[in-house]
Amino acid sequence: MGMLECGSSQRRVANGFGIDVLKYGEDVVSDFKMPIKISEHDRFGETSALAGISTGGRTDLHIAMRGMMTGVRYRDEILDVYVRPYAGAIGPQFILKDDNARPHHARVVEDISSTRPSSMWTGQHAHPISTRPSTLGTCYRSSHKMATAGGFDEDTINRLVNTIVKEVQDSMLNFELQKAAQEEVRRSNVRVFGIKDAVIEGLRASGWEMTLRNEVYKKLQTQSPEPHPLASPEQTKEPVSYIRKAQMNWEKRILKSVNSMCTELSVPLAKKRPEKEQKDMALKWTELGTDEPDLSKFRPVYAPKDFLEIVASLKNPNLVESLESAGFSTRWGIVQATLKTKDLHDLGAQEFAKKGCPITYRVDLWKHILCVHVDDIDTLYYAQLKANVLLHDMLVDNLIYKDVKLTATNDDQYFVFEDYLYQVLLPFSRDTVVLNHFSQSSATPAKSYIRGKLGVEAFAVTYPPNGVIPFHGFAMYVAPLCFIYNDPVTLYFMFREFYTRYFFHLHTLSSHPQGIVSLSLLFETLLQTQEPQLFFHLKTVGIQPLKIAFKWLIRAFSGYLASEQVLLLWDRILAYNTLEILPVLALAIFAFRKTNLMQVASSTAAEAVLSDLTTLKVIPLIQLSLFTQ
Amino acid sequence: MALNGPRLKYACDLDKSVLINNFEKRGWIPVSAEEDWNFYWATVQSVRNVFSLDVGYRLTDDQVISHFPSHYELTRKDLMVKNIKRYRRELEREGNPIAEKDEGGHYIHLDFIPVTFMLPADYNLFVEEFRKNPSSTWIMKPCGKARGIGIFLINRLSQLKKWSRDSKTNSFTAPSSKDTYVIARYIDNPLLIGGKKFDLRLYVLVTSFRPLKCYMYQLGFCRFCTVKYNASVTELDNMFVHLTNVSIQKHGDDYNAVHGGKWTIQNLRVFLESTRGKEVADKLFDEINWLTVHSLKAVSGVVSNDRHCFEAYGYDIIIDDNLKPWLIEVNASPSLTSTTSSDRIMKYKLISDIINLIMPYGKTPDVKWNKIPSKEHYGNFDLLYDEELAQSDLLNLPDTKARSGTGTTAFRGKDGKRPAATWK
Repeated sequence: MGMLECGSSQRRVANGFGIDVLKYGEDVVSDFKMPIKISEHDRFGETSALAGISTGGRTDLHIAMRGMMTGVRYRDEILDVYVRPYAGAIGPQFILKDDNARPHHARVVEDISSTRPSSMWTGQHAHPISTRPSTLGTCYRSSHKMATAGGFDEDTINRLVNTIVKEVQDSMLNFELQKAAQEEVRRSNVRVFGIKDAVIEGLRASGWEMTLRNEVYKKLQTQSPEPHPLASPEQTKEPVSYIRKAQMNWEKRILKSVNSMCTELSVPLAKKRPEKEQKDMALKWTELGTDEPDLSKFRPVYAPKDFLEIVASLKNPNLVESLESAGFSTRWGIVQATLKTKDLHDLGAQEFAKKGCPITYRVDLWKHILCVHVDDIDTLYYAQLKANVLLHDMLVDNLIYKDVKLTATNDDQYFVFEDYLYQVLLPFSRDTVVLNHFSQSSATPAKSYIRGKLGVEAFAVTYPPNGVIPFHGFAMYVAPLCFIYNDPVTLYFMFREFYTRYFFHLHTLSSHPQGIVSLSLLFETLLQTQEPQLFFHLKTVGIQPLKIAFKWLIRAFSGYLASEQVLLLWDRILAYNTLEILPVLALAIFAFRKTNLMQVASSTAAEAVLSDLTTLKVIPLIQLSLFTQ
Repeated sequence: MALNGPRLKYACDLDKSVLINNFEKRGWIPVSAEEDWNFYWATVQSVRNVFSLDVGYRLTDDQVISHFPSHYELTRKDLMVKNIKRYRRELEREGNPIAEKDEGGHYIHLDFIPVTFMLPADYNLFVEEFRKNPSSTWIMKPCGKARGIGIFLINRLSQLKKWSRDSKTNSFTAPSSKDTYVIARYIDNPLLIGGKKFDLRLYVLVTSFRPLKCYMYQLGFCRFCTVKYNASVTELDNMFVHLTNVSIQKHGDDYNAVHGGKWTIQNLRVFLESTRGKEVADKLFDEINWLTVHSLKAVSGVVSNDRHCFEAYGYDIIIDDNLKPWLIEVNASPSLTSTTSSDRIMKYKLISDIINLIMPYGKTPDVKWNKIPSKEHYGNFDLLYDEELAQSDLLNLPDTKARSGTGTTAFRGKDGKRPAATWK
């Protein structure tokens, strides 16, 4: 019942988008009652979605398998075990990106269906998701996420709808849709009085509807909540003032460090490469690793350890000092910031333990989830970035070289991909699209001024052009992706999406629940509640667990776990759209090595116990730690 | 466990820590090669001496030694090629479906070594083949040498004039193995990862040739060239581009001592499964297992199968960009020198696992034993093929015979079931 309701309303909403964008039909406004439909879904959603799913699922499912969607399947693969017991919690997770019913996808899908054990489909519930509800979930979930802050008021939704419609209208997709619609109109079986329905039907059949939905989903992912009208722009970026100040100071410190490096080495921030150098570099583009500039004088701007100090120094000034001095310190760990974190129950513990993504399909599924579809324009864009790299020599290039040489080049799993890392990281530093993520981040890109115009706003440029100053270990965000994407261009866009959606949180101070401060705090709280004995022991011998775990968190475990395990872990980051899995895994590792850790008496010994994680299996570990409680 | 076993006596020709540490951990007692040993890790020369008729040394039932006396049938480049060619002809004569050919006259299942000729003996055959495809590159390797010594690439016949002339002038004296070369079609479309060429070093343990009993080690590795691969003619002389031997690469400027250019097979698998798909990766590893078995079967009739012997071979395999594996050569004494710490760990485990398979439970060796260890002693080895087990399986399961056509082989993959991929 509820299912049908959801499904149909969803269809209408989506059509509404399509129509409006295409400027067909006049009922756009009424169709845009998305808020109502969504809130309806919200009211019934938690149960209705599952009910509908579990009853209607089977037959629908076949359709789904054939026509559409790797995305849905992926979720299934990852989600369906949990879907059953925790349908409510999951509802919002059914995001998925449907595919465009192109033959390629259909093949992938059929492959999946033929290789999956049939028990997956015939469990105690019918298959939980069919294509349409999943898309519904998409819109619903994202809106829900954003709406939770201020309740479900129609204004928010209207604002969202308006922004997104505008963005879609301005996009290339709009043009393509119009073209596709014109194609539909030209078909011989279209009659004038039914033109609208026919066009919509045609667009749906040809996969354009899915493309549009995916686009909307992608936009929803990057919308930030409407700021309070009285809030200053700074407050909107980071509502907690002491964290905001800390981030600003941190940025100043990084800048100062970069500047002093410039002065010491008398290297300019950027300079044009001489023509010969440009040519040489173009020739050597795919083997930049062999041509090593002299890096001995360069050093990473900062390492995870430095950043940890900053995280640990965060302190809420509103805490009453006297309580602390009287020995009532509420914080045992080193993170002193007071932020709300979830406990294991809130995290939907069981949800995290999942089956993995079939390795063969990861390549497409990750692309779908991150909405990366590399086309000619993207390829051209990448070529442009590359040209920019060739044109100018920047200080950050040396930092990137240095970082790759210090990390990936010496890593027995990733050294093979050294040259790919340059092909991703150098263009990345020139990519101004990356700047967009600062609207979601508490960080602000650094500014530099054209020589001689210091302080004149008109001559200000962000430096580096993408606003991100790499730190020690930055290259490891790219490295695991090299196992999946063999083509540098796809690799590039996948990394960019990963970074702007997730990884920037890991080296920015913010009160965001995905931010490194919250993740660190979450780790400490989890360890204190789940393994109090262990925490107490370590504390007694003067070891702060976070000092060990922080480097894992900031790199999302890349370079610490075996490559295959990192990918399994990142599957879950994507599947649940959260980084919270990182502290959970860190907790699991501590718990797993508890016996040894209980015997250590020094931090060197503790480090030794936890130095080699390459033998660990992520999934059983998380399950073990979560289910034995 | 090992310490509770008898205190065996061992002799060892090589001063390698991965060997000695293993022996010492088991509490074995070192003795010289002249004394009574139970376990002798010998060089090929020592083995030749032990088995030479002049010495007349008789091994007792509680002695095992680390090479077969005529292993060179497999490990000398020219003999390996000769034996494999003969094996193919024999199978074909039997009408065995394994020797099936495609329309182009190429073996479907047995085409796993690059086209190869002996020089100077087959010079004319080579010229004929070369003229069919004059732009091809060929690789010249001296027959009796290892570790990349004396290897060079050619792409013009004139570069071989020396050998053709020599063959004419010296036609009275048969060339010794020092002067003979094999010339093989160079795999100029190798699979590249990160733009670099690599080959596989796999360890294969043979405990008996008749019946054939062989094991594949799971912890093999890929060896990467430090320099970007470049098939262009100007780079023909740059051996850092073409040869993956660690002994060569070590001297390159870009050699990294932390990982030594070595990448685990596990990494290769993850990469291939992700970028090419699991089925493709499975097929590749399947084919590698098959070519190993075929190469061993090819020599099983000619190697003198002494019950005291076992041997760990180093298989060198190159994968081309169609994901087809090519057997390049087999080494009788794969290097036990450790270049990195993970290399040391891996090689230590390799020796340990070999000893456990040869002498389960750390017992005194007994050459009358049927050499069928239980699975718990496999360690990181997988059983590739056991002719004895295969035959008893066939007796027990008559339908296997029907399915596999001839019933010559029952192949044991990781799961203990035979992959049917290469059989049609």
